[in-house]
This record gives sequence, structure tokens and C-alpha cells, in this order.
Amino acid sequence: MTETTLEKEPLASLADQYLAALLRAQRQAASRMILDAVERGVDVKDIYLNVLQRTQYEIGRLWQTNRISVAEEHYCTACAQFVMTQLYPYIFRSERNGRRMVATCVGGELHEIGVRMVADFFEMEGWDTYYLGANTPARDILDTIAKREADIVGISVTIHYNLPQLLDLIAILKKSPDASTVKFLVGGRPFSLAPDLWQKTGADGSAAHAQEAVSLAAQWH
Amino acid sequence: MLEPKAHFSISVEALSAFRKASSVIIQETVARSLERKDELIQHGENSESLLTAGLEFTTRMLDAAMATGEIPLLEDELTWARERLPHEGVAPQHVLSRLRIYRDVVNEILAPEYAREVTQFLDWMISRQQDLI
Repeated sequence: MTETTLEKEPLASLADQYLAALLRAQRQAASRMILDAVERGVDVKDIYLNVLQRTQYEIGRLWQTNRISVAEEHYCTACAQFVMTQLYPYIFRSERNGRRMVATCVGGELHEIGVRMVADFFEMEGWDTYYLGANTPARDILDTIAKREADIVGISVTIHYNLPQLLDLIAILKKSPDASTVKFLVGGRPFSLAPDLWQKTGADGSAAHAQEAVSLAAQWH
Repeated sequence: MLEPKAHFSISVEALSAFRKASSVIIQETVARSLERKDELIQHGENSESLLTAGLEFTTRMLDAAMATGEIPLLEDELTWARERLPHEGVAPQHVLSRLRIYRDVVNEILAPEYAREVTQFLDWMISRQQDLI
């Protein structure tokens, strides 16, 4: 079995076992252990942050160090998305708070799991979320903001070279009357490396993870 | 070791000039890199396409760092490359030589005042890459 470096933190044992199952290409077993944990009372948010997110980071590290292939990395990521979908009965049960969020990756950005997690956290807090996924053109993001009357737009960038698209996107959106009252929240790897970066994008704030994003939004609304 | 927290800046005009010239910069850097045949033996007939893809990637990363003025992005990228690229047959020394060629080409193609603004970022990358070897 490929050696991993998941540290001993909350739900570390579950994360270890989940990752091990994925690396053995045992998608159903991996999914089952997550569902069993949630059915035993583990909070879905803890599963997201301490199992799925941590495992995704580890999977990225394993590919970077050539311990798994691109195909294996894609398989593991697809499994994570599969698991997240299976958790939707637990996510879509909160009372609505009347606020709306559009969550998207910037155009050209293909790494969508992070912003999908953020959208799910907002959903659990009662927001109506419109998750657009990867590589969404600016025009379509603006149309969605207008059509859905978004209060917040969460935009994700993972690969640094997509930052110019983010700068252009926020500049375009902020010029539109349809987005005049919208708050822009950005996140992703570049923002963890450069703490002041979000201020240069024209955004209203940045969050290191989904729970922090929800907390920031609560301050705004 | 170089300070990755440095903040450089670039004028809108210099960034625009770089973007307009980037295809030519990449082409010329690829052409000169192909002359260093000892660095490309492992890539065989794929050398040109791999070099082009790699330098397009470098250009996009450099563009993002210049557009935001954030050196930590380049630090992260070079550290990532140090870990990953040897598995793809690209040694750290090869990255260094290609960065130097890239800088020379920028100095030749861009107007001097614009080249200076771009090469402050490239000089940082070259120094950092030397540290990583």
C-alpha cells in the first residue's frame, strides 16, 4: 500500500482508512465507511473538512511525488464527488434563511471540489446555493447572479495561472448593475500562500476553508 | 535563501507588452533550448512539444505573479516543480538553464524599460531555482 502522511487529527483514522480504500480502487467500501460514520452521528461538516478535504490534499501530494498516476488521482477525486452526492440527504435538510449564493470556479479552472464543498456548507446553513462547477464563462456567471439574485458569489481559483481570469471576472461583475449589492468571496490555494492577495482582486473577502467562508458570510448578512 | 515574501510590481504597460510578445518569447526560448541537446535526450522526438508546453505553463505562472505582484506564487510553483518535474524527466538544472534563456530572450524582445520590469521577477526565479538545486 502506498505510504501516506495523514497526521493524527480529528477523524484521522477514518481518513486513513478512506484513503486506503480509494487507493485499492474500492469505491463502494470507501463510500460505505463515510456513510456509516454519518449515520453514527459524525457531522457532515467534519467529514468534509477532516476526511474529504484532507484526503484530497494527500492525493494531490501522492501524485506530485509520483506515487500515484493521473488516472488514480482522477479516480480518487471522482470518488470524493460520488461520496459528496450521497451525503445530499443530510445537506439539503436545513431551514432556508432566504439568502442566495452562487458558487463557481473561474473560467479555465478545473479544480472544483473545494468550491463545491463551500456551496454545500452554505446549503447546510440554510442558503439557497447555485453551484456552477468548473470553468464557467464570465457571461454565464453574471447571468446567474442576475437570475438568482445572488447575495454572495464564491469564486475559486486553485491553479495560480487562473488568477488573471479572476481579476478580469471580478472587474466585469462589479461594473454590472446586476451585481451592485453582491459580496464577492474568493478562495483557493493562491490565497493561502499570499494573505493579501484577495484585496488585489477586488473581492470583499477570502476564506481558507468552507467553515470560514460561512462565518464570513454571516458577518456580512 | 531569497525572501519569498517580497512584493514586486509591474506597470500595466509592461505587462501588456509582455503579454503581446509572449508567443514570440516562448518560441525563441524553445528554439534556443532545443540546441541544448544533452538536456533533451530523454524526451526524444517529443522535445519541442514538451518544451513548448512547459514554457507556456511558465509564462502563465509568471503572468499571474506579475499581474498580482505576488512572489509567493512563484515560490510555490518552483517548489512544486522541484518535486514533480524530475519524475517527468526534467532535471532542476534544466529548469534553471531554460529560465536563463527565457530571461535573455525577454531582454532582447521587449523594450528595455519593460524588460527590466519583467526580469525582476525572472531574476528572483533564477536565484530561487539555484537555491533549490
